[in-house]
Amino acid sequence: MELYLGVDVGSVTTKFVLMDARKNIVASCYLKTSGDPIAALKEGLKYIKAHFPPQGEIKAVGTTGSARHLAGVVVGADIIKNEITAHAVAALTRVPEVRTVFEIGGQDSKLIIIRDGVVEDFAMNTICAAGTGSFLEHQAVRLNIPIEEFGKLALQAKQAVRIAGRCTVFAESDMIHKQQLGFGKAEIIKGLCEALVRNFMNNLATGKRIEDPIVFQGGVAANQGIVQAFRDFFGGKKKIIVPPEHGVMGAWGAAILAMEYAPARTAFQGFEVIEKSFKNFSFNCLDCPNSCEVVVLEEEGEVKALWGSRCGKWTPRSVTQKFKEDLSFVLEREVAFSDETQSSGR
Amino acid sequence: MKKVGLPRGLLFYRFYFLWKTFLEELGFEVVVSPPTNKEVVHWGLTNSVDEICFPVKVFLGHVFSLIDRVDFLFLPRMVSFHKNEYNCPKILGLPDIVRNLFRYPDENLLDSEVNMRDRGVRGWLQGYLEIGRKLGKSERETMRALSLAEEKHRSFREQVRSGLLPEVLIDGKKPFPSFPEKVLLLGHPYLVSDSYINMNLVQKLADLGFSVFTSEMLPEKDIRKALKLVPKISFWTISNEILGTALHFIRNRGEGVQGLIHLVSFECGPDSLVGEVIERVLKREREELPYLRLEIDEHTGEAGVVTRLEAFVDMIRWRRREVESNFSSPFAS
Amino acid sequence: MKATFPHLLHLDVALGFLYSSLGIDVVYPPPITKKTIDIGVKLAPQNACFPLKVTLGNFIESIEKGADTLFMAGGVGPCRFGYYAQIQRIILEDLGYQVRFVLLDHPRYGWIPFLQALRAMSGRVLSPLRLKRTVSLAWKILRFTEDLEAQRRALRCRVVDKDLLDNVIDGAIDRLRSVSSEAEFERIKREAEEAINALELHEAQKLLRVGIVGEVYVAQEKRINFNVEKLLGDLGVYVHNSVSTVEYVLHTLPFTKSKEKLEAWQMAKPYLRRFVGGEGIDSVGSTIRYAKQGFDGVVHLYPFTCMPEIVAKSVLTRVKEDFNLPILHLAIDEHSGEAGLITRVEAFVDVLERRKMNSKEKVEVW
Repeated sequence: MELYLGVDVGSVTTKFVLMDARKNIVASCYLKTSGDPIAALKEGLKYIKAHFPPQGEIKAVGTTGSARHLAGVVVGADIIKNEITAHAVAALTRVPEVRTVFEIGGQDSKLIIIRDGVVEDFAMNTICAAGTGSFLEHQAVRLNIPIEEFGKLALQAKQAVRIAGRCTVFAESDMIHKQQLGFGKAEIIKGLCEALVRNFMNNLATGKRIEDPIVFQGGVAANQGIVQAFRDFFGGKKKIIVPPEHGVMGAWGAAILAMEYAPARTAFQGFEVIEKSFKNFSFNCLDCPNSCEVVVLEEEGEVKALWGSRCGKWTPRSVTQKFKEDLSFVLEREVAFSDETQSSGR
Repeated sequence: MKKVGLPRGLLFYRFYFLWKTFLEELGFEVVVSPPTNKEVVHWGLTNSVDEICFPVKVFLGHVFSLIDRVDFLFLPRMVSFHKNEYNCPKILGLPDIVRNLFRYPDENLLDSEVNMRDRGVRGWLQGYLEIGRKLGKSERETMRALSLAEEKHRSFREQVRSGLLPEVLIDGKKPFPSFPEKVLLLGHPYLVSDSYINMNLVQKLADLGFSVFTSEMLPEKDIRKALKLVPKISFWTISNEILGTALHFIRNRGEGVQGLIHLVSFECGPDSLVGEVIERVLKREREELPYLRLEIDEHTGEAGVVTRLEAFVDMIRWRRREVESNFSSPFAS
Repeated sequence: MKATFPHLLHLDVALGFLYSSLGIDVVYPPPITKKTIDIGVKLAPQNACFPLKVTLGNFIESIEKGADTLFMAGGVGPCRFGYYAQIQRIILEDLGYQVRFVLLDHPRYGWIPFLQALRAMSGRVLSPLRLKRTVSLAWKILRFTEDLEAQRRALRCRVVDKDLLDNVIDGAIDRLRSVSSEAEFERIKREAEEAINALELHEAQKLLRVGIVGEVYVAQEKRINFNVEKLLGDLGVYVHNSVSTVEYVLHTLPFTKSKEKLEAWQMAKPYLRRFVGGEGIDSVGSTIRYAKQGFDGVVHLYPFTCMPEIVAKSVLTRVKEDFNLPILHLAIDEHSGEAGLITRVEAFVDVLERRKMNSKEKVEVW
């Protein structure tokens, strides 16, 4: 049985999809990244291994998401693709006639315009989190409501309170202000859902023609309140589809792309990766005032990959024992340097 | 009678009487879009590119509200109404923005160029004559309408100078109460005079016991005299008026001005630089004058504005007590 | 007098040569780094446009290196650039720096200051013939640095060893820094061209072609725009940039006009009928030119809140539809994150690739 693995490592969640040659999802999981992508990757691989069909064989691997390069090295990817393309491909597979994709994840959101099965335009919110899942989580904690209940409560409200502010912090202060005025929780939650949708539309959709069917995906699509707020935003005139696999669409897209680009031999590192020890650390290169933050990935003590040096001087090839000595020196220098800057008090 | 639409935004607050009279004298019915409201703002937001400043978005919302109701849109390209100066690039490109965003037909768009930058009054006349031609009027008819319109415009500007705000004169509203204590409210007329955009700022100040004094109430010659203090003035007429008025009051006390509010739209290019000059001159020359920079866009929450206004007024009163009784204030640093 | 000036890609190479030849002591601004940007961002008005902040950072870093005279150009509006120097001057004054601003502004603001600025920038008096030679060699140097960058853009997608390409071009630009005669310049030029011609290239397949339009500073300054050209080249895209300092200078001088720019303005006419400051109309015109030349897409680079470019962006929404041309708008400021930008550029290239594949399939169906 030919199988394809898609991995989507975002800043908040990590998603795995195991897919067969007919693009059906065989197994999938949705985990918290919790600031440790490598641990999340191992955990995901464990899950996939546990649900691996007998006689299955992984033919190709695709990674996507903000940590796609790291995931690509750790898992061994044949294709590393950005999440916009991955999400669009998955949406097209699920709903071939799709014309717009809304994707709201933990820390960013995307809007993709599709015409005749081709991405025509897209927008991505990279500046602020007001239109994203973390905004909701944050407010749920503040209101002391489990996030799962959030959507249901919003549906109970008769009317919404208008929550102002593009910025999460301001929205929060406005929300507190409305609470102090004595509005109920349900109304406030409905107001928050509407604020999120308004922010999403203002940040991403201005000047774009939104046509339906709209596929709404990403972790936030599970929230009934937000789906309803989108429906209200369009006055119920647009068809909004939330696919059952809304949470893992990025990973599914990566798996589909891996199948499209499948090489003769996959670069997949096998499930042994789970047993390997990885170390991920960063240092500031102080050779010029750019002070690039160089991220290093070590596997079993061997440097496997480096990212983030703008001039390209740091490569695994340039890594020797000497580099490691230098590195400890650099790290020390960095500590000394930061002390200096603090004491000079400019 | 053919209808001509006049969108209520941007330079509308400066030239409303001129434009309305001009068009009516030429025999057209003038349709003005309704005062800015939630719906207009929503139309503006959905029909513009996201980075354009809030007042332009609002303007586009007004255009949208008129489009299906009128035969012509009146949108003269106001490149410049002052020698050697410009308006901001967005106003220069406004007719093109409208034409492309709404796919508005050329023949219904009255967008002749009014440009006094190099040619002074001739550039002014040329623009209006061209509009007259487009509407099928002879040069004589157009000139007659224009001179009547200019008369109306002059008396409107006189009334503004006497302390009435454009919105009061345009919509025949009840004037705001007058107090001896004033706040110098600086900002483009489309912010100062659109109560929806500025969240009833003038009324809120009145509730706190202050009248406003705007740059349109200071005679042109005083503004230009004050501008001589900077090595090079900017090239945006209205921002220069704001700068000149600020400099005038930093140097000369008068009119009962107790503090200065600079009302800025969040993404305003000219004011981002001119505001910096005002702040720095203020710091150098009259640091004790209470100053508040109020940035406004579609996301501004009213609660925050109220809080800042109240604090600003407190600051004015503390400062005064300090002066009267050498009482130290919590704001003295 | 120790004079300095702000950066604009490789303008420092040509200007450095010019001023040194005129006997002016030049302090080169350090290369733009994170530190430059941090300094500018900290001191400049929050809502000022990004080039103002970066050039202010250049000035301060140069002053710390010992510069006491700042050369800067002015302008007549309506774009904010013409007012940069005024804002930078007042900021530097408030910081207590004792420096002199030499501002080459439009004679509209007075012939006397204009001539004084020219006088201050022309150093020792040369014979007319030597002056002409010096200026023309500086001009050639500027043109050649632009040519080199154009070659780098065009070849990056096809060259076998991308690092070698960078070495050849960076090396040539470095050698230009020490040029002292016409003959030496010609030799460097010849050797660089030979080295470029010797580069091994992949077969030219059906490459994606992307044009760059936008504001003169951000669309060129690689250290500010995250080197979008390199990103595209590494993804196998042929890149052409319509923005050029040479054309900009040609068009600003009173006695010359840039043919390129006039052509673009003509092309923009149906959509944007007049100059709106900065490069707004150029962005529209060049986009249309790329569309007519059959380019696959356009990247629009500009500083966040740039007024002329926002007008252009509004107009381009329709150009995009009329010519069926994908456009990626990238507004750059100190808050722009590299990760997000890379993702968007990669997704954009995917869009172009898939469109190309689809159009092929459609042709086959016919």
